[in-house]
Amino acid sequence: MENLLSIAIFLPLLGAILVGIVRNEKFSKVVSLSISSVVFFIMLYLFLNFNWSAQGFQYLTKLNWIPSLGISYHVGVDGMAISLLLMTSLVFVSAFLWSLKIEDRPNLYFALFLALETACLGVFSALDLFLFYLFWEGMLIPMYFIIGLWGHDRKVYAANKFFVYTFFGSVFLLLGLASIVAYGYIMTGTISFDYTFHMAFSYPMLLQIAGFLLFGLGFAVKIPMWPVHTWLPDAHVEAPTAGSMVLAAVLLKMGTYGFVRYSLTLFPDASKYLIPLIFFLSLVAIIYTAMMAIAQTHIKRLIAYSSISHMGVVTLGTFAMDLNALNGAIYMMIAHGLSSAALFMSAGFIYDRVHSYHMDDLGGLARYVPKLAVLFMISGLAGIGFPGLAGFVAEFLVFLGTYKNFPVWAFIAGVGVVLSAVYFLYMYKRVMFEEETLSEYRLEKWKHLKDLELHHMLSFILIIVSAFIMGLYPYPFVKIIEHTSRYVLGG
Amino acid sequence: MEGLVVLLSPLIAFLIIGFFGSRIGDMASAVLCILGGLFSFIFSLWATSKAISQPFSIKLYDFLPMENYTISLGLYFDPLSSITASVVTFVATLIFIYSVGYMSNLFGQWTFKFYAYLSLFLFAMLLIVLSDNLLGIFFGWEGVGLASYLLIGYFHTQKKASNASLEAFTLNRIGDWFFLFGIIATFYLFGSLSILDIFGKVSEVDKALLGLACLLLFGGAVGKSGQLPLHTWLPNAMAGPTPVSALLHAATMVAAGVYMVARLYPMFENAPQSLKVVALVGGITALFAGLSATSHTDIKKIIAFSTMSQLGLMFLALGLGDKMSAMFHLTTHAFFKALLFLSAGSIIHAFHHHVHDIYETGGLKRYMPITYGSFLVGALALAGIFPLSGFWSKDLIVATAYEVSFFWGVLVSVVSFLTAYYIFREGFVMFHGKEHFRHEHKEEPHESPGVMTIPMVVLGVMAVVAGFFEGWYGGILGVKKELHIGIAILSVLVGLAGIGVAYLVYVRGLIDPQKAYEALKPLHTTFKEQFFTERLYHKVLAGGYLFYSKILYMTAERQLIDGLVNATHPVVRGAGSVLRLLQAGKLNLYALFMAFGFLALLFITILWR
Amino acid sequence: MTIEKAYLLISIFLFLSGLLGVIIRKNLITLLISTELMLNGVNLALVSVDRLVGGIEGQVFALFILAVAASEVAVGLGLIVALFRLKGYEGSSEITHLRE
Repeated sequence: MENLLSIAIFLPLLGAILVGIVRNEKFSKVVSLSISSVVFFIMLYLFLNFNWSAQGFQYLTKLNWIPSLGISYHVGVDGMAISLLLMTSLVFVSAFLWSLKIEDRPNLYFALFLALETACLGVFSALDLFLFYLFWEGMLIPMYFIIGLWGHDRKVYAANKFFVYTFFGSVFLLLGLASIVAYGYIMTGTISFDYTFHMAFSYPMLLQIAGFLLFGLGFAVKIPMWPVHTWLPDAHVEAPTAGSMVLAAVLLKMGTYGFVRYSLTLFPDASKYLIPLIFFLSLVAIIYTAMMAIAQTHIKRLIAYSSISHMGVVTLGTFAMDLNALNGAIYMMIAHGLSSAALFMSAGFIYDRVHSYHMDDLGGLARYVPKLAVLFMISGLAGIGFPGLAGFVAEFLVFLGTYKNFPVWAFIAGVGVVLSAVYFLYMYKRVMFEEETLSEYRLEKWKHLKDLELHHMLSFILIIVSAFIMGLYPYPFVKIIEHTSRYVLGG
Repeated sequence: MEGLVVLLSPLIAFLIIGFFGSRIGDMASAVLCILGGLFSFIFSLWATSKAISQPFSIKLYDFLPMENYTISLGLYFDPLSSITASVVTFVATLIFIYSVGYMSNLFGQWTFKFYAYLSLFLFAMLLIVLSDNLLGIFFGWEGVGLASYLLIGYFHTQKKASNASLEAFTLNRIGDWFFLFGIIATFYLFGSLSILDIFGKVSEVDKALLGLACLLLFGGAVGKSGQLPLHTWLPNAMAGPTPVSALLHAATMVAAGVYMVARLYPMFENAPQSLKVVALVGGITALFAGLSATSHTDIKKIIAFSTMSQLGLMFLALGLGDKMSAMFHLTTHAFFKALLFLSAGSIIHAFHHHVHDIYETGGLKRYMPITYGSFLVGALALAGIFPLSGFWSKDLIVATAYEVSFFWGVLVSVVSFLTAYYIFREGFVMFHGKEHFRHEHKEEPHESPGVMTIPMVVLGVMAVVAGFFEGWYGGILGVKKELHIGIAILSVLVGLAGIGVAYLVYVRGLIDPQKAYEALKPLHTTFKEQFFTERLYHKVLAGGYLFYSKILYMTAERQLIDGLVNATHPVVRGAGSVLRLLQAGKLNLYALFMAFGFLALLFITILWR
Repeated sequence: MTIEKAYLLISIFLFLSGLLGVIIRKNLITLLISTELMLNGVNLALVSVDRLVGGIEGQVFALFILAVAASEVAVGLGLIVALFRLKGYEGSSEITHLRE
């Protein structure tokens, strides 16, 4: 039972291989759904059994892999990782539920998603730098094909942009990894990619800054931070719904996860030194992308920009050097994972029914798809940090923590609260309300729209119930997250 | 546990209606909603009786662990909160009953949503009133904001309603932004968010920082109560159904700002500088809204401006250090303002929801006697005529204002005069005068059904008698105030003067209003346009924000950042085509490169030594 | 300057002029001759350095190189003639088959 974590990581990959061999549509769907559910329940079990008062990583597994280079298969979780793993597995269950009715090459689709799940789970649980990088890059390949094969009109452009952009960032990440491994070799004479081995070091300032910038560029592209963010709207616009869900909910979190896991712990002094830079970029992300969001007429592009804006809050909280703010930042990763997945589901559903993402083609839908209208509203409220939903706890903690040392920055960042409400409700109004401005022709079309089906409802409910639980009773979640924040800030 | 019922019964009603409303039907939803309010009212009366002798609190659960402190949610019943809760639930229940009649023509069109929203609103409002900590208040604060958004935009098929709801939520959110940071600032001052902890330590903390926290908190109150400069949403919120205007935008939700300042009054008292700001904002808003009300002709908007103006008076009283009279005015105001709105709704209902301008009605006295009586009682109470409730509460504010300074006293008197004038102007035009509706509507308007008039009569009774509880209310809050005969007579005279002017103009026809407006056109337009603030906000601020966002998107985002990114493609391609020439298969060139390479190696070996 | 050094200078001169020929000339036969020139430059260098340090390996190498160069010239000349016959090439710049 002690290898439960590894089983959960590689079960989806096994499923992908099975799906690839059998190539039966029904089988693919059953296998993907059941495997992702099993993974979710394993993660839930691990989450519930997680000991938040103990120190260090838990559920560790370590196997020698390439001993001559000091590379091992080393996985384990802390509070942040287990929370993110739980969220990831939940989003995948929901994504599979959502895609049950897909018709275009379903076997390949499910196989790619299963492979993607392994890579995502691997990134969050790897404790070996090499293993981490392997999963980090491995995730690109299925995602590239998901966007490139099932996307919309400009899918190839978007897929290429996504791949090249993130790969560009990864190169710097690799360089950073190599430089700290080389430093470790020079200092101790042993070559090791192990994370815990490197945590014990305190690097000289120059290396810290260089390492921080190299790692940081890799993570910043993935988050994405302003100004290396332009791949995200394009990727989202072209990606299929489930792809967007995973992209927004999980892939973006890898960057912020990397900041907390690697940048803050390995380069603490450089992190402190570069706070102004990060804060500036975060504030620009929060305010500038909120402005970008309101200028959009494309639903998914708007949601994509809102994601960037929320990631700005995460980076703000991460580098505020305060326990509450860091808790809030990690909380925001999970909360945003849930809310953005739900928002993309809503957008995707509208596209499935109306075949357009453009707000000019929409309007007055509320009366014709009432279930969607309610769920869309709740997802949006989760996104804009409405109390009672997960986003609020996160924003509150981030602003509270940031206010302690940087009151002015925090206050300015708080304007995001207002702006996010404005762009979301403005979009909601244009999609759902104002029926009287619509032409007869479109109203006639609306009358035949079918509301959410059962599998859509299930996948919505999974996400939204979780958002409510996290918003109404954050106590255990924050306690578990604090397990990470304490050692990150204390060490 | 009984205290919890106060809070939970609307929540349960909301959940049942929300999940099963489409199955159980609209009527059953309405009944559930009313029952939720009723239970809440009964138990809050019980809680009041208990809290007057001994305040008590109920801890709910640990909400959020922080570094050295755990925020837990809970309820706190003291005289202030429990009496306010009783008033809120009482007015709300009556309005719920009224709405069954008002919305009857919409039954069968998913009206259960309306009752779900109303229940949600009541729950959130009670959360504000009863929470024992600032975070709980913020929960309710945003909750009423959401309920207000949903209810203003209830007729969401109309462009007007959905725009108004968006505006309301946005301006509320700006207030919430300040409020959130007020909470955070308070947390760092006191190390706790519990109201009781804050009251215990309030005199020990730094005055300047306390003032800052108070101002931020007050920013939230400004947003919620529609005070300057976050006021434009309140008149536009009248796009919602009338019961909503009565409940949210007159009696309860907009009063949340006043209540919050009163709730946290020890904080404000210890930072006197912040109280000056409160008084200033309140006074200016009272005058501003009073002036704007004189020029509007929309049935509901006049009352909405009146609400703004009265809330301004309450803030003024709070700012001048008189918490009791502000809270007492809030209570009586809840009764008579709800009454006025319900009467207005009754008129709108009589015209099948097609009439919204006072000049499209007229002479309704004959057709709708109960509505006329209710409106008259409400208007007299609002004008502060002895012995109705408005007289008692407004008199306290007038007295306080004159005590503090002559300037504030005159301001309050002017506002009182304007109040009496505009509300009676509306009353005279609608109930007396010519029957302007004859052109449009063939059938004669008729009195509303009993389900609507009974709540109006009950509220009317309350609007008359509530004032007599002044001594009792003051006693509970521990304030004793004497009635100043001179000031009382003065304020009644001012009120009568306002009524007299309205009477002379609109009944006697001493001056033709139309001609007067023509003569004073610039002034009239200024008042009607709310001193052009609405236009400024809509066109310049909101429009400008949208416009510059689009410009920024087209230039900075598309051209600059994305342009640079996309430029990498031709750059790489260009570099490739240049480098490709080197691999042209020219033997001689390769030989040259080999020679260069050899030379380089040679140099390196030589230099290395 | 000793005689060995003079020989070395001549060998460098031979090598460089061969290199120059390889780089700037296009005719295949000339290229072959130029490489021979370079080889002989190297040979001369080997022998003269041998003389300088009093060894024997250089002379052995030089003999080897002569033998190899002879066979190389035979094969190379054959290839060039075959190329000329089959494709009509005579310049090095015409041999770009692999590029396309």
